[in-house]
Amino acid sequence: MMTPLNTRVSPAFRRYADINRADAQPWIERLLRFIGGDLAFAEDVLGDLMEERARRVERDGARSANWWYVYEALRSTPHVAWHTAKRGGTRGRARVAIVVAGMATALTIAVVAIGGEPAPVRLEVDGQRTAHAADGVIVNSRHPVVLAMRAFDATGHALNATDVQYQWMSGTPISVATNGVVTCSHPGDALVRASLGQAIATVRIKCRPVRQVLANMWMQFTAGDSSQELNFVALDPDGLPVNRLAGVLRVRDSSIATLKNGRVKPISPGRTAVVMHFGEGEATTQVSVYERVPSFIGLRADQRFAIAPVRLAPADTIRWPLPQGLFWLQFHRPSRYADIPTIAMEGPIMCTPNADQSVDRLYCLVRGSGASVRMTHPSTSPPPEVSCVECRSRHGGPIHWAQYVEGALSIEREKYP
Amino acid sequence: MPTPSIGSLELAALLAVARLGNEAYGLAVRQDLSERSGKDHSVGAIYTTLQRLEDKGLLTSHASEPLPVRGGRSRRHFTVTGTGARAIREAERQSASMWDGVGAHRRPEPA
Repeated sequence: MMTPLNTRVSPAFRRYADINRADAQPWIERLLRFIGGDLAFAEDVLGDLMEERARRVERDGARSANWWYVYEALRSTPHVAWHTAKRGGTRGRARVAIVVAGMATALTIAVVAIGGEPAPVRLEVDGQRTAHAADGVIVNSRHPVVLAMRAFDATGHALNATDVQYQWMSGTPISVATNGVVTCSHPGDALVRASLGQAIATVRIKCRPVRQVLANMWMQFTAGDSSQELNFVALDPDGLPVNRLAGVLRVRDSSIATLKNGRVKPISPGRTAVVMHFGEGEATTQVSVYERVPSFIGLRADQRFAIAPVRLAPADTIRWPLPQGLFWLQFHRPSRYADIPTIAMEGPIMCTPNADQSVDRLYCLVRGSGASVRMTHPSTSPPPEVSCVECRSRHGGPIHWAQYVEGALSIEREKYP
Repeated sequence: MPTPSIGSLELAALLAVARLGNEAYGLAVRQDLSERSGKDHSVGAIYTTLQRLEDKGLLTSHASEPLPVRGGRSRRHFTVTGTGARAIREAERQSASMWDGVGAHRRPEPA
């Protein structure tokens, strides 16, 4: 009959066994010995496994032998468990029960982790990937767009929502593919059904195609100014304004200006742009932010965006030096009816258009030192077409020869002349 | 005394023990069966079978001295008992009886 374990293993062999077991996957050995308890059956099995492993180490190498050892030990585990359950008494059966329960728990955890995802109970529009408003999904493009949903289980945990199925239900006839690809050919609202398992949601698609975006070409600020509203309008294919928009509206360089709630706020001197992209319409507004300086006298090389106040009494003249390189020069009037001074260039400078054409924005190139801009009050001698009874400027606004001409002159220097 | 009934794996193990004589222990029986049948039985399955044969009185076992190669464990050597020897003869007789009357020309060709 079976010999008790303790009488069969000497202390010397125990030491040898411990050394041998150290590289022989002791965890599986511990498992078998735990299941087998003090029954000789488990020790017989382990002895055979170890003997065969030693042969395989010489023949196939340690790595292969260890794999074989683990594989065979796992194959033998049910036999050891069965033997223990039959002959190990109450304690043996308890040990087997513990191991079976542990394996069942591990298996359950593995199944849940791998594929046993809980059932979805709620679907929501994915606001990160779909233009979602409170009353529906806004689509400004006439090209196909993809709806994206998020799925949640009963505890509120997000689930994988890649298999959501979509179906057109009612409203404006639009193309809806089962994978969520929607094509808005015409303006209007449509209801679309999204489903994943038992979770169902109805999504309102608000088709608002945009063909064109119109916007101001320029916005100009002085650093420290308050924000200004960004003026633009999106038009549908019939030329009508679209007031539900979802797309791109951003500032290229937020260190120069920021955009918040449709208003542009200057931050620091420089030039950037606001980009607007809705559906098939796109527009750009250039934003310039100037540094306020008393005059152009003493402008440093790093002061590329500067603006200086101009105030001219009749017969006054201001002459400011201009730096070398390429730059925009612009006179800013306080109102569209205000006069501009007579602007003339001196020295090695070329401008377009020519400064003597009475324009307020010039693009100039200074090729050497000594260039300057000269601004003169325009009323040093009254124009011949103006009567002394009712004086009006060439723009039709009232003009008084004794008044000052006020405004500001800005310079925007290109970085690489 | 009637011999207990045995299954095919039990008979194969019993025959292996008879064949191996003094070298009949679990690992040797497993290798013998594997070479002859081409089947890879687990160590646990072999010991379960040998244990069952011992329970039926067809085998008896004794432990060897502890061996280093087995991590300080003994080998369990098995020996066929008289009942086991009778069971082998009975199985041989039954097998011969089953083949009796089946001529060589009627035996199916090996696959």
